[in-house]
Amino acid sequence: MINFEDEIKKFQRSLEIEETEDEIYNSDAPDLTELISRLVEDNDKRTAADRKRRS
Amino acid sequence: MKCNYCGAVLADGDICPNCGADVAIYRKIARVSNAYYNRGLEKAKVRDLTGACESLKTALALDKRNIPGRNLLGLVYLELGVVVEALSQWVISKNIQPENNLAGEYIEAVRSDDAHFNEITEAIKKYNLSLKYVQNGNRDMAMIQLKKITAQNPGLIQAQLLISLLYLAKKDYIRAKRHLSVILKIDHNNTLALSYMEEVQSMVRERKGGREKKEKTVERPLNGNDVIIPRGGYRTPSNGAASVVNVLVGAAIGAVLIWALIVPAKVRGVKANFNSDIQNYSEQLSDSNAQINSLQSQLDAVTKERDAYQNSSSQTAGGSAKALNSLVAAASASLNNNNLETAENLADIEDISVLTSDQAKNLYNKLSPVMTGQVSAIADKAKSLSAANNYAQAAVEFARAFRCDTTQADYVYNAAKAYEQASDTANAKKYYQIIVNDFKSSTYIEEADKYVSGH
Repeated sequence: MINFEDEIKKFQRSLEIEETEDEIYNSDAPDLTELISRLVEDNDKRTAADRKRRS
Repeated sequence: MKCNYCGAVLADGDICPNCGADVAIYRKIARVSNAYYNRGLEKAKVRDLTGACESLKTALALDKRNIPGRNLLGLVYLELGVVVEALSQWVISKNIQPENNLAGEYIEAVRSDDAHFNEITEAIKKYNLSLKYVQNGNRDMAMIQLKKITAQNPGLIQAQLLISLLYLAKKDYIRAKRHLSVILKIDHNNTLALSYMEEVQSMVRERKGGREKKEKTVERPLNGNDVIIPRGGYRTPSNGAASVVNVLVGAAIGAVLIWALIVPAKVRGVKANFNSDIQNYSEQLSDSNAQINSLQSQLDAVTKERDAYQNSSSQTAGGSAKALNSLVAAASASLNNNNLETAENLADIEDISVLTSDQAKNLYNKLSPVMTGQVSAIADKAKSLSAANNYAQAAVEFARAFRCDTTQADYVYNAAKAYEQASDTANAKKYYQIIVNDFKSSTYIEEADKYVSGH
């Protein structure tokens, strides 16, 4: 049995045309490629720092 | 495929020939992203838009440079009626790859159809308003708005879902089903629509089950306790005489009905016509009477005017003749050097304006200085007449004296008094009136005023 009050919570307001700009700017979340690249970069930096410390 | 660091076109190896970066992981991720795009495309082709949307979102979460995936997600969004999301995807796509990108064409296609674009954006605004209404408990208002939106833009899935939910809440399953069918035609696997449809179908089944149960209860087989009532044994007579009698009775009833229904209506109609004729004639008659009255009043007015004119003309003519006679008599007395008689005759002319000719006026002006010298003589004569109780003649003489010297209030008062004593009320009132009008500061004013107001 569907509960109206629970169901209505699933509905979200739709974006209006004036909000397109915000939507575009806010959608710049990093994808998996970027996340892995950042991880790789961080790892490289950490390795380089370890090497420096040892030497 | 392009390097995710410098954007250079990659060769077969795992190292970018331009920047020397290791692109092995990126290659794998891009391949997975592409697989999700393919899955999304397959789903979109069979109108599983919800499924396609999920796959394409995953593809973009893995690699946001997946241009075909982003463009397709925009198309799916457009089909679901969410234009802003669609445009956003295409704008991002165009930003990542400005050249050779279908997104530019899509944006242009949407923006070029101004009327349709405005209609969709208005529908989205109304949907948001409806949602607000529902959240505030104002379902009726929301329903009115949603009916309009769904009629004008059936492709706005969110609005269709919301109105379906409202109908479900109202237990109007037929209408809910109608809207859900529209959604499922556009998006075959819309999760929410499918769950609502399931609800609708189960409720309809429940209702049908209840109805069948009721019907079964009504049509239960007979048992030993049921009482069977036999049909009546009446049979219609079938011989010829009875038919003739029936026809005659029918004709008689018909005649009675005609008499009872048609004749009164006819009589009413005739009466109505007769009344209307009488009313018309009455109106005509009253119009004619009004015209006659108007003509009669005009005739009376004209007659009065004529009488007044005749009266005044005769008076003028009479007055003029009398004045001329007096003037001639005065002239004759003057030739005989009888100044008193000259003055008396001149004083008899009450109104000089009745002397119409210039010669008569000139003659009067030549003779009139005599009057001033004879006033006292005329006044003495009047007094002696008054003393002899000859009030009528005394009044005439006092009036003459007044006309000879119009500054003397005594003369006019004595004239009025003598006329009063001679019982000539009209003339008495005339001279008292002169005192009231022209001698307000005289001692006679109170008596004159009293007489005028009393007569």
